[in-house]
Formats: sequence, structure tokens, C-alpha cells
Amino acid sequence: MSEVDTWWRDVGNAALVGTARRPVPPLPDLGRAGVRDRPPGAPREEALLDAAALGGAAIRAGRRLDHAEPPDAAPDDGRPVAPRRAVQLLELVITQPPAGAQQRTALLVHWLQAADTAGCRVPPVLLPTLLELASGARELRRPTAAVLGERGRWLAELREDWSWVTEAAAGAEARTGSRTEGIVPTADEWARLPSTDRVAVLAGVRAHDPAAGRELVLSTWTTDAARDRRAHLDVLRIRLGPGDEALLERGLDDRAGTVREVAAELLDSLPGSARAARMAERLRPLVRRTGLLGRGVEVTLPDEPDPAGARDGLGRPPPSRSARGWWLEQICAGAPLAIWSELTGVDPSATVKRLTEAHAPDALSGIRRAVRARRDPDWAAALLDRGWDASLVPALPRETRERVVLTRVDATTDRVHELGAVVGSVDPPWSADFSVALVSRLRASKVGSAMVLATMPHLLAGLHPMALDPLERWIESTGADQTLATNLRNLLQFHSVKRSITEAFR
Amino acid sequence: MTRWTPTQVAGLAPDASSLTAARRLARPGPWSDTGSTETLLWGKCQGSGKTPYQVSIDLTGPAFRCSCPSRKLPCKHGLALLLLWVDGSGGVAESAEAAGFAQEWAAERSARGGARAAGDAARQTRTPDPAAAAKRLEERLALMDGGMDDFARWLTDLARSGTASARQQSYVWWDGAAARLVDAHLPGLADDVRSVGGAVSGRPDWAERLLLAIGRWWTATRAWAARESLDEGQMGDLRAYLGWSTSTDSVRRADAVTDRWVVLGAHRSDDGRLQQQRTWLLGSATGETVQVLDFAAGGQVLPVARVVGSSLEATVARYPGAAVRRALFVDEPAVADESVRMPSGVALEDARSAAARTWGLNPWARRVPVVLADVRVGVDRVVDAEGARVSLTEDADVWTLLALTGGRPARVFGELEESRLRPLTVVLDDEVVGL
Repeated sequence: MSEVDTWWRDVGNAALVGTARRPVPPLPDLGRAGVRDRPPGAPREEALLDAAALGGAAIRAGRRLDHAEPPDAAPDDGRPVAPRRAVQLLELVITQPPAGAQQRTALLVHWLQAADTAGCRVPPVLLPTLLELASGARELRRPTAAVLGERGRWLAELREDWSWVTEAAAGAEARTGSRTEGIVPTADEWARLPSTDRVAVLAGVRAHDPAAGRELVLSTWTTDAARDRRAHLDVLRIRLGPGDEALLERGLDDRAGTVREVAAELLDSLPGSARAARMAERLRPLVRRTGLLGRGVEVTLPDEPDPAGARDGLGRPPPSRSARGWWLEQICAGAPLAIWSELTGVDPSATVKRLTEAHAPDALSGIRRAVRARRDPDWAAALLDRGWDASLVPALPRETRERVVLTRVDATTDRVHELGAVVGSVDPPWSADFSVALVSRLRASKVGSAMVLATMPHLLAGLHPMALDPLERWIESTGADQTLATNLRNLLQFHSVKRSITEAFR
Repeated sequence: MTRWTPTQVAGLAPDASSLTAARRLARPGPWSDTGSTETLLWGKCQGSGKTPYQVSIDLTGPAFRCSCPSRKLPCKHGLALLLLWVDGSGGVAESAEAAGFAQEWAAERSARGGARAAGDAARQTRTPDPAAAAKRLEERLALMDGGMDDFARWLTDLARSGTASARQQSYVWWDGAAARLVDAHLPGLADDVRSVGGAVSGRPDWAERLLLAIGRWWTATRAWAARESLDEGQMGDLRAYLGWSTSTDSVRRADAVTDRWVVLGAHRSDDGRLQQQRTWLLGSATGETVQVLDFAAGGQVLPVARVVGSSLEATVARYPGAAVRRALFVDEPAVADESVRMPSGVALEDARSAAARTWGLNPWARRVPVVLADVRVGVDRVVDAEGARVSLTEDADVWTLLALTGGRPARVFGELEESRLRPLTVVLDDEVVGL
């Protein structure tokens, strides 16, 4: 301690208890400041106040700087910053969300994914804002982590509430690789991936190379928890094929009921499988032609299944369902659809008619499930002819699908609340024709305002850019309906910003 | 002129609701006759009335004019037009010549600049009654003398009974002392007493802080007692500390200097009662750094912030003072033809000794502006090339600073305050970014 430090400490102690109880230390030599002590005899209080004033000034001006190691720098970034126009759009979406605040997250996700696909990163100045936003909204985290770049990951490590980045970034890398280039992780990498990312990586791999995806699932099958086995099996839905049958059969013998359930459900999609043949054998004795000309059909309910039947999915029925009706549905859902023409001697359309007349609802539910799982267009058309079922629409070829839905929209105008499900049965993105036709139908309707509100989420997700012009013309003629005008404007803004984002990364 | 960023525009908004309203308007629909030149931006906005509002914006100021009845400045139309322009999607096209109404306004503005200079000259010739003024001054000085004597006695009592017992006092005791200072026309000193009194009970380093404050206050009472021997600059700094305001008219008349100024950085604060904006300017010829202070209370709105890193051709008048002088714009500054570069900066040790010299001249200077060369930013500190470190203030926008620098050496402008640094501007590859 220097002389001045000792003195200043003594001054502090004197100040604490007061000069009434403690004397004030005499001034040290303040060097070039040239300050001299007051002559003796001045009041103690003033001597203390002088000392506080002089000491304070000396310490403020004379305090030496500490030294420290420089902080670690961020590694160099390989990825380029997103193009200028794209950055402007990102700022726009963050600071003044077009299309209303609710759509901000969707637009942000679109921006982040477009940036990732283009191999770009977020400009440094926006990193804190984006990290802050993604900390508050889980669906933003993984897409954000993919485009932070080295700088962003380095920054996130410095702050506790951004620590989610480390895990999200590891997953994002594998996801990006598997999604865009079909990069298959090695068995080791796969084994080390967090559960939440495995599903996404597996989905990416399956889309490029189904067999490689199946091998990944098999590589950890014996060590994975039931929950993971179920989730992995579920991903095999993507590009499911006969090659997957052996693994699914293995799933039928699984310890966990949830795994067995998914395995059976996926086997429903494979009409050429051994299980489908077994189901066909179970169905055969239950269906009988009736009437003189054999134009009727009778379906009897199955008896208690044997152990092989229970293994194939004829187990305990869901609550408040008759057991035998449930088994029939399971059998019909698993058997090849082709067996019906063999059993009834007529085409799908006539078969559906006869089954309806025979009051065989369990058989029809099973057939519906088979049609959904196998996307069988003929059977879907046959079933839709006899009654609307949105879940069957995806089985139709796209053109038919869009035509069927438009017809249904016309028929649904008085039941606006059902319209969302109708329109939602066409998966996005929609064709230009369908989008334009839908907009013109909505516009022509007397309850267009309510219809737009009911279908908003689907319009946001599906609408083709070609429908934006008609939309704009509609806005100009909305007149007094402010809600409609606002909704349409948000819709238009959303799509035009989305398109601009896509274009900015070209 | 390069278009701004939406964030810059958002920074100009007087309040959140204006910005929200402007965002709703920032689409091509309601606009017609829009256009922009290097310095002007204009357009007509169809509102609820029959005639559209005419909006003109001088981008250099920036300054706004709108024919709408709103008293907000800038109004939502001005902000919306800026947003539309910033968006760059073709809503506002570049044009060689400004629309009629925008040109007229620009002409009026430059004419008004001239008129104000003439008005100032007229005011100078008007002489107030010197006898009455001298009497008012005498009364004020008597009140201040009494207040200072009283305050010196209060300090002496505090020294006798000790700071530990002062800490036991309730806030009312501090507030009472401050109220007497306000009555004696010493509001600046009163603010300091209130703020120290409010912090004494809560902070672990209260003893040191209180001791330093006592020293500062005592210095003020001694300086006041010896004010006959102070020069004009010293007296100016003391007046500023005590809160004895100087009329802007007299400042305007006195110490004006015309120079090309670079905007080093700016800081805005809002304590709920008062909004304050500090803008630091460095004169390229004089080499002096001055601060322009703007205040707004209640429903008032701060003037639009200057673009950090930009160069202004302006005459500023300096308040009396010895160091870290306050200044005001004598007339509306113009954007300089030739821009001045941000200074290259110094090492921390040099900045510290410059600050020490400043405090030697003006012991009441709360913050000293410094440009630091090659400092690396950490979460709570900056470290220069020689390894010297300084802590950052608690209100520093450290995350943006870290994101921009990535821990690499950068030039930083900021304020040294109580041996901490408040970073305000960072220079990266000659790009100047305000924090």
C-alpha cells in the first residue's frame, strides 16, 4: 500500500465515525498538485472535508488502470452474410411485422430457412435481437441456430439465457446436412444426436435414401427407449416400402404397446406384405354374397382372434367400442383392397354402395383407413361419391383433389365453420389455378368475410403467387368491411413479403 | 443518398403509438406523388379528409413538415413515408427535381434560417433595464450565498457525526437538505444530494461513494466562497454544476464557432420524468469536442437525433466552461460537402490521462468523451492493445457491441464516467455504428 492509499483509508475511517470521535490524518505529499495542509488550529471538521475533496480529486485523476487478458475473439466465419436486400427484409419483419404481429414468427422461420438453404448467415448487428426473439419462441430456435454463424454461436456462449444455442446448433447442422444434401450421419454420430434432432435428421435421410434411414433406426434399435423406437418407426412413413417390412414385423413383437401400434399402422400401408395376406385370409370367410343374383353382400363379425391375430393388431378395442366390430375394422384396414372385388365381384364404387346398404360401418371404416394409408385414388373417389370426408381428399391425384374441394366449397357456404377443414385438405403449396379459383369463389360469396376468416391459416400457407393480383383487386372493392379489408391486406402482405424473401436469396 | 434502415426510422418516432400507426400507413396504397432526391423526400398521403396531406422531409436534418393537424413531430405520415422509402421496393422513386410543395418548404426553411439570424441581431440591440437586472442578480446572489453557507454547515455537522450515522438517516433527511438547496436557487446541487442520499442505504460501496460526494460538495462550497477569483470558464462549470442556468440568448451571442463537425455519438436517457439527449460533436478545425444537450418533459418530444458518423457544417455557440463544454446550434446545421473521418483514437492510458487533465480543469465534469483505438470488447469490460482494461457502465449495450466486434480490436467512442466506460459508437472498417 502506498502512502496515499494508507492515508485515504484513514480518512475513510475518520469520516465513518465522525471527527467528534477520531482525529483527521495529516495530508500526505500530493506531489506536483502542490497542496499544502491548513495551518494547525483549523476545525477538525473542515480538515476532514478538505481531505475528502483533495483525496477524491487525486484518486479520480490518479487511479491507475487495471490490466487484464483480452477477451477471446470469435472464430472466422465461413458463411457469407445474407444479401443486403434480404437483411432489409429481416429488419422489416423484426421491427414492423407486415401482415400483423401473429404472422411474424412464420415469416421469420421462412427467412431463416431461406438463408440456411442459400448458405448465408445473419448480419452481426441483428444477432442480439434475433437471439432474444428465439429465446422467447421455441419454433424459432433451430432455424435461428442454423444461420447464426461462428459469430452468433460465440456470442450466445457468453450469455446464460442464450445457452440453448449450443444444442440447437449441433442439431441444426445435422438437420441441414440431411435435409439439403441427404448426408447420412455415421452410426456413432447418430447414436450421439439428441433425441429431438434424430427425428428431423432421420426424416432428411429417409427423403434421400430410405434404406440408409432404416439402417440408422436398426443401429440403435436394441438400446433405444420405447419412446424413441416409436418415434423412429413413425418417421419410416416417409417413402415407406416393402424393404421396411422386416423391421415392421419386428415391431409387431415389440415389448411396448405404442411401438406395436405404429408398426401395425404402417403395415396397413403395405398391401403386398405378409400381414396384409394374413388379414385377407381372416376377411375371406366373413364376407358373403347374398340374393339370387349375388348383388347383395353380408359381412359377419369375426370371433375372438388367435394369438397370431392378436399379434397382427386384433387386440383390445378402444373404450366404448364393441370388440368384434373393432377387429373387423382392423382386418379391413390391413387387408389388400383388391380382395374386395374378388369377394363382391364388382368395382370399388359398387362395393361401397353394397356395403353401405348392408349396414357394415366397421368394414367401411376399415376400408377408409386402408384408402388413407395407401392413397388409393379409385377407392377414395368411390367413397367421396357417397359422402364428404376431408381425410380422403389427399388420396386423390392433385387435379381431382382441387376440383373436388372447389365443388365442396360451393356446397359449404352455409356452414362456414366447416370450410377450414375442407380447404385444408389440399396440402400447400396450392396450384395457381386452384388458388385463383378459390379466391374468386370466396369473393363471390355473400359471406366472404367469414369465409376468409375461417380459412386464413390455409390461405397463408397455401396460396399461389398468381392469386395475389385478384386478391389486390378484391381489396380495392371491399368497401366498408374493415375486418375483411384488414384480413385480405395481411394475407397479401404476408405472401408478397414471403415471395420477396425467397427472391432476395436467389 | 443511401437509404436508411427501418431501425433508424424507428429511432425517430416520438412514441410507440406513432410508430405503430406509421407502419399501418407504410404501404403504397394511400400514397401518391412520392419521390426523393439526395436531400428531400416527399409524398401525398390520403387520410380521412378530402385533400391528401402533403408530407416533406429534409433528410439531412432530418426535419419534417406535414399538412396534417397532428402536433407530434415527426407525425405518423412522416414516419410512414420514411418507412416506405427505406423499404426500397419501389414505393418511392428517385427523382431529379422535387415536387412543388416540397421545394417551397425547403426554400422557406433556408429563408427562416436567415430570418432567425436577423431576429437575433434585433434582440441584441434591445437593452433591458440594467438597474432592474442588477437588482435581481443581487437578490439571487444573496439567496445563493445563504444557501451555500447553510449547506457548508450541514456538511460540517455531517463530518462531525460521521457518515455511518448519516446512513441511519431516513431519505427525508436528505430530501430536506436538497429542498433547502432548491429554495436557495441551487437545483443542480440538490439533484446530486438527492441521488447520493437515495443510493446510500442500498449500495455495498456506499462509504466510499459518500466520502467522494462529500468531497465534491465541499469543493463546490469553497469554490463558491472564492468565486471572485474564478475565471469565466471555471465559473461557467461551477454554475452548470449548481444548476444556475445560462440563457440561450446570451450563449448564442457570446462564444460561437463555425466549423465542420463530426457526430461522434449520442446517448438518450429517460428517467420517466425527463428525457435527455446528449450529442457529442468533434470540430475538425478546433479539435474540440462539445456536447449538445436536449431535454423533453411531459408530452414534449426530443429533437430528431443526428446521424452518428455524419459531418455537419455548423456554427455552434459554447456555454461558458473550462472543459467538456456544452454547446448549442446557432442555426440549423447543413450536411458537410466533404465528410470528416472519425478520429483514430488513443490507447486507454492516454484516454485516462486526458480525462485526468479534464477533471483538473473541471472537477464537476461527470463524463469525459474518449475515442479508443484497437480495444477488444468483453462482456463487462474493454481491453486495449497494451492490456489495460476499463469496466463498462451498467447501461452499456454490450451485446450489440460484442456482436459487431466479435472480440476483435475495434475503435470505440464513449464516455468515461466514474472510471467506467459507456460505449456509444463503434467504428468497423470505416463503417460507423451508433449503439
